[in-house]
Amino acid sequence: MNMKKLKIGLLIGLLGYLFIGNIPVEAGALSLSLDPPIIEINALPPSTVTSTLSIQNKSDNQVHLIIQVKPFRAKLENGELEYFNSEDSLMLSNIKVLDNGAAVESVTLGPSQQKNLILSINIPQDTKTSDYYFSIIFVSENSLSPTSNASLNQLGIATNVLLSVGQKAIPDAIIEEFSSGLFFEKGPVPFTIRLKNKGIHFIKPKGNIFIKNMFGQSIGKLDLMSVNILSDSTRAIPNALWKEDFLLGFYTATLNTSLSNDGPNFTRSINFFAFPFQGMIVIIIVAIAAIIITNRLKKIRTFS
Amino acid sequence: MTFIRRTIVTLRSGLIGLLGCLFIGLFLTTASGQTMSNKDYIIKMQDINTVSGLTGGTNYKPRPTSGEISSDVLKGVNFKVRTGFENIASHLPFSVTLSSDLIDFGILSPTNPIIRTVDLRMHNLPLHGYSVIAFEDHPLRKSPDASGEFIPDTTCDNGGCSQENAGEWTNTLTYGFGYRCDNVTGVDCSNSFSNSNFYKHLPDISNGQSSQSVMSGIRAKNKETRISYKVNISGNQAQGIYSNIITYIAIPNF
Repeated sequence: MNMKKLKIGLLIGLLGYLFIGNIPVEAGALSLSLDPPIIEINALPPSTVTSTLSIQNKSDNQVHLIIQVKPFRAKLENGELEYFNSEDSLMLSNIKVLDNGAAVESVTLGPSQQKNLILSINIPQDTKTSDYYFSIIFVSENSLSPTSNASLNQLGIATNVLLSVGQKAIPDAIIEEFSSGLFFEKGPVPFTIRLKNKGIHFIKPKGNIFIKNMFGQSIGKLDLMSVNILSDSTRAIPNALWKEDFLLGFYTATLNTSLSNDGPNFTRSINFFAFPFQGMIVIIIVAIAAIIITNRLKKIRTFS
Repeated sequence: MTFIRRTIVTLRSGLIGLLGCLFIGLFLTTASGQTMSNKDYIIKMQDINTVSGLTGGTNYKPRPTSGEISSDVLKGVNFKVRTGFENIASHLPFSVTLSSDLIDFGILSPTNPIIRTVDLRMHNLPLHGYSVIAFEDHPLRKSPDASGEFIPDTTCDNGGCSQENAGEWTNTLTYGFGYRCDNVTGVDCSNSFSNSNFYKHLPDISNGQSSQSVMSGIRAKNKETRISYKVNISGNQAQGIYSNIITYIAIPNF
């Protein structure tokens, strides 16, 4: 096989691979990405805060996106939010999205185009000390004219902004719940941790759970996910799971949480008990079988 | 004879090349570089730097990055800005895809329900979770709007389903427009759709109803659901073209 044939072969192979590997894109699909997913701001008035938003049209079609600013509050204890209508002047007039320095209310993106925009928030001197929670939402505009019965779809994507205006006071929060089951046959052990923020600013507590056995030895440590807790709301800390399979005896779990880098700190302990019934039953059956076999062997030896 | 032999040799080397490329393609890891392009340019970045721009205030101009650095803190004289999550599982930007911008129901005939689907996919989810809310601008309405004719949102067989609660809808004499959600990847549809014939109707913002979550989850994996729209009309429904606009918004949890 000479070089010419090899080259032709490789070319055919490459073309074949490209043909096979080319995944068709759905016509009319909408696809968006937005970064960052969250922006947390602490500001003292007066100030003008800016931050970059990167929006990308990941579809093969041009898309016209309307930019909306919507205030939100906590809906559930898992970080889900709900929007509400607000007449707050800060929301309406002082938040702008800039494209090349000019405020825009919409943006058009070509196929696969990505654009960096600037979120600009002007905080005047007389802004009251408080928290402001809002989303910047990019929603596609559907201008199709249906020729038969149809639903036109629009797609939007949001980034959340947590804005604290004013000097941050010492966080004020309580542990509403720290619990787990009382009895386990085996791990993992899930913990329920719910913290209520009673202050006027959002907080982001850090914490961990230390687990000790009945002999007082530390046998496990679980670092908790640091999540935002909005003002006057309760949040459950997700993924609080001690991934230990074999458990036996009496355990003490101690929650240590710090509401900020400067405190305050809280500690609370709970107890639980574990006994592997199924495993023990197997061990007992094996032990009984071993005893029976040993006795039989002894009898046979004695008899012989 | 010689020509046939040459052709066979060429085809054989082509097959070897194809297999080689497929083999290489199978075992190559996906490149994590990012490409930005439009008709005028293509920029390929080796590093994942999904936000790289100017962030600042009156007294400073720092340069934020996110992506490989999952959370970034910027300090000014009067403020501090943190972007992104500290402990995200994915370094790629939060993304959402809807498989189509148009659901064509075609010609509607009385007591003959039509079901059409659209797929909703979430990618690079934040570890803290997300939700997708949905709403309609109004019920399926006849064009022009001045006619006032519309297909009502379904209340299901027992008249009890709403934008919040699902209900069974199997009777062909139950009319209206509704939807249901089925899990394709993950389990992020509402549990209320666990029965395959259960439907809700979309919140109608023209009627003051607030948007509702159609899918939500907390694990940082890619998720996919299938949204099925169902429409059924009575014999009294005026003929014409009925349409509305349905909006989905993907929202990361805070």
